[in-house]
Amino acid sequence: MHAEGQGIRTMFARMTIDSVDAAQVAQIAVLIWIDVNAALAPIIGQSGVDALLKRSLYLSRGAHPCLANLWTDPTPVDPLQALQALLAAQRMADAMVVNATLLQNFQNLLDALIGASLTERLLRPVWDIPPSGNAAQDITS
Amino acid sequence: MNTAKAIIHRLPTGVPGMDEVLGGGLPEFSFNVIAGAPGCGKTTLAHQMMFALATPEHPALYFTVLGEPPLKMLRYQQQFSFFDNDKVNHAIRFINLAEETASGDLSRVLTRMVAEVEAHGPGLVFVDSFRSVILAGQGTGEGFISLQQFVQQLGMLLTSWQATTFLIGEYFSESDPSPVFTVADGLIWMRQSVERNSVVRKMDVMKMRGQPTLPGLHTFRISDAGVSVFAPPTAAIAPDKYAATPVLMRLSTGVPGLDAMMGGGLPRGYSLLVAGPSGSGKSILAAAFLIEGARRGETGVIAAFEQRPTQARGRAIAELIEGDRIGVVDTRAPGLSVDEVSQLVISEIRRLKATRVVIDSLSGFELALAPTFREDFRESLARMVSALAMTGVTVLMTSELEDRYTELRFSPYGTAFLTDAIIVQRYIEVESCLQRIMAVVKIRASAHSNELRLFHIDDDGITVGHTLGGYEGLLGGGPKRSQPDIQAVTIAGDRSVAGRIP
Repeated sequence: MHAEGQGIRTMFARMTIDSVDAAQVAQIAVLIWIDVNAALAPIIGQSGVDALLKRSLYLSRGAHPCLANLWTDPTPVDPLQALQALLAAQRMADAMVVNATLLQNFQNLLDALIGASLTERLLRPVWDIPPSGNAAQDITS
Repeated sequence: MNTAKAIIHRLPTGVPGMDEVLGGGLPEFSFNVIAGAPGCGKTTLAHQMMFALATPEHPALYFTVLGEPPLKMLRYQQQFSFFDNDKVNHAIRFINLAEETASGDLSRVLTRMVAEVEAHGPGLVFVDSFRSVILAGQGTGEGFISLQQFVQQLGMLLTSWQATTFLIGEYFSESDPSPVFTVADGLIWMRQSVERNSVVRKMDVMKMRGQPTLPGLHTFRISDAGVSVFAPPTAAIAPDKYAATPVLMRLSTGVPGLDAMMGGGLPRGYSLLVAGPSGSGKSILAAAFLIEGARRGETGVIAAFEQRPTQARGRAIAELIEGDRIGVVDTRAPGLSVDEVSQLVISEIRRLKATRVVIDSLSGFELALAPTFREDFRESLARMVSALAMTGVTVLMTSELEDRYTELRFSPYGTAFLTDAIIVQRYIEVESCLQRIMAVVKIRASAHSNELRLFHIDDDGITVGHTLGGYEGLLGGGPKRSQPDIQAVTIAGDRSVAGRIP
């Protein structure tokens, strides 16, 4: 397991600390998921990442029933778009907790499958480089 | 005119025994195929070489195609000790081509590979599995490049990019040559051979341009450390300084009286076969040989094929094993080959700088082999004895030999000719007692006793006694008193070849 402070969930908490509403939390959440996808899809394939995300949703919906209907459509829309809409519709604190649980389950799942060390190795780009959209805005502003 | 030829560097594969089989290592910038049925170890071999060879300066690209999902491949391959997490995304990049392959358009696959090769400048490229690429390319419509074109372009691209390449493929048919085989510089075929209940892994380098590979099927084993190939032992040994030792330096056998019978001991570097029936004292003689070595500051190696190796050899040997003065070769693995045992023995010899080796016994050795290797036991044993001789060690092998009083045999395998020296032990019956006799039958290029000597075994080991005076026909098992009298008393009944009364 990752030490406290190194996990992707911790990073999410840090990034959303100044958020003002659920929509902003949802936006940051999706940026992180885009980076996770960018780190993993070239290695394990898009279908591999999708399968892990689906499993994480399944594992998280016991604690957060609001996730139950996400991505159950047989012809799904972009899952991250759906997730962003869902998070934005929550209260801000709930949106943070829901996505934190989802990230944690995703990371736990990857830990269980390929080990914490390799997971950390593969996801390192996600927390080495600040998430795409935000970072660019920070530098140029 | 400049006549300098191209120099092909040979990369060490990091797979024990593989470099010998390849004829000196992996030719740099070669385009190779690893073929074989599912489960025969292709992906493991590829990963092992990749982790050994990839560096940040010469990184490796591992393209995964349809087939084994990359997540599972990472999960299982990291169980091997060679898998170094720190190299992932640094010296090694895994790239999934499932999307491009699924399109069935090989030019798309090629374009993506070109882009990745240009982006990362790899020294090594792996495509796993290439069969998926072939299948994806089948049944494609007009406008797409053919498999042949794809392979040729890929081969050209990767060689010009100075990348050593491996295409990993499942069950290509040997009888149906794929265009891949024509383009490939190297073709390594891995297989699992099944005979009765035993499964043995074998590898065959069918092609490796520009270098003398070792022809034949070479056994290999997959352990936690990955693949180990067992090349014929002579290939793995360069004659070393021991081999130049003057032949007639003698080693004591540790059995009082026996050295004298051998003309002063066993010449160093010789191989000795001790043949005799069950319980005659072969293992005790072998133990004495090792203990004597240890007493003189030498180290030894024992390959024991008994049921209970630790209990059978006595306390002195157990203590020497404990103190790492004697190395023990583990012979319990299923599906052993003579080449594997040879390599284990040789690596122990090197580790301990051993000078004495015991193989106890050849009969047990044969039983420990996988059925597929038993037919070639004699040939393989000859290779092993010759390889051991090249290391300069002195070898003592025991051989179980049923007492047959109608003939004089030294080993059940016709192996007697392999060794430089032979000692035979037998039982005889004298005055209603079972006695043991021993004789030195042969010592190459050396005088030796021709006596049949009684010996006995007690807590102190073997003591060689005198000849059995006044008897003859000892080798018949039931000697008779040698008296010039036709009424001579037969001591142990009439046997067909028992000594005739003169």
